[in-house]
Amino acid sequence: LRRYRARILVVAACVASAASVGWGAVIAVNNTQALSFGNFVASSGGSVTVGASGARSRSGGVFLVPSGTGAAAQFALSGDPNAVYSIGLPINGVVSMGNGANSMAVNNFTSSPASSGQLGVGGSQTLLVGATLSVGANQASGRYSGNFSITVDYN
Amino acid sequence: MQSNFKFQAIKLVLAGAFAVTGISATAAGASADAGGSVITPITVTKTTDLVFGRFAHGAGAGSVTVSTSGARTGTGVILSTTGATPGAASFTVTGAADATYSISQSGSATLTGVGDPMALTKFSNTTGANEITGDAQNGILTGGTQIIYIGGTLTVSATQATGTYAGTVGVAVEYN
Repeated sequence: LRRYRARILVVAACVASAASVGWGAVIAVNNTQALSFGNFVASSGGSVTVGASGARSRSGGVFLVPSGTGAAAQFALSGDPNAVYSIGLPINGVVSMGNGANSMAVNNFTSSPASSGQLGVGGSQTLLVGATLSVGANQASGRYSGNFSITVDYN
Repeated sequence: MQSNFKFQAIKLVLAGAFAVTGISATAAGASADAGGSVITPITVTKTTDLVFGRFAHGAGAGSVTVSTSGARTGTGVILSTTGATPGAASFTVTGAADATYSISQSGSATLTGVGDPMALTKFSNTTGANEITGDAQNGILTGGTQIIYIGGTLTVSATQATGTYAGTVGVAVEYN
């Protein structure tokens, strides 16, 4: 009898486990496009901002080279249909792009959707991320690169 | 003995519950590259002036043309072989290698001096070829540099006063 009761309890625990897993497919996120600030002339320095829409703007003495357009980062999300999720973007002061001994800070990350979103009926959505690049006066010319991470979670 | 068994059973259930919690942690993260290129500023400096040299007006209206390669021809005027050597204006553009840029011209529509102003029309190219028409509106910085050549045609009246006439020829460049 004691063994029998033990089996019943173990089976019950497994059923509870299976049922709990059933309600929440793990949300997945994949990077499909890099964040690009394009080509620009530093001059007296300033900033280059790429919005979540991909639109590029500048401040200070920075000149944006028209043919060297930027792009927002793109992430493909998938999970439960219609699930609401929250977005975690890098905080200021942690991301930079480098080229040898030179670097430029990347701050003020923005996203579309902003702070939270909702997956579509098919359980997927595209998340776009932009940011602002700080450009020094006479910033050394060259190709700068870096990387950043985001997180998403069900609400 | 029986109470001991219950304790085991509770532990099993708890283990099951923790397992569920672990599996349903749904946060996910991804990393993306970020990049951008700082481009060398584009600059333009004058290398040579546009020089029409010395000439005399004829019986009627005439003109003096200096091609983009600096070759001088005259119509209805008398060209002198002495005096300043004729030549096309040239401007040296530097910037990012292989970048394309736009060219806009500025400067005088006439050369002025002691007599009536002489109308100036200009033409340009980036090859240095011998041309007297056309305008280079865009260029490419192959190897990070290119030269813009500007020639012109000067209209000379039959009564053009003797003296020195001058004006300006300018270009502005901007990355495309």
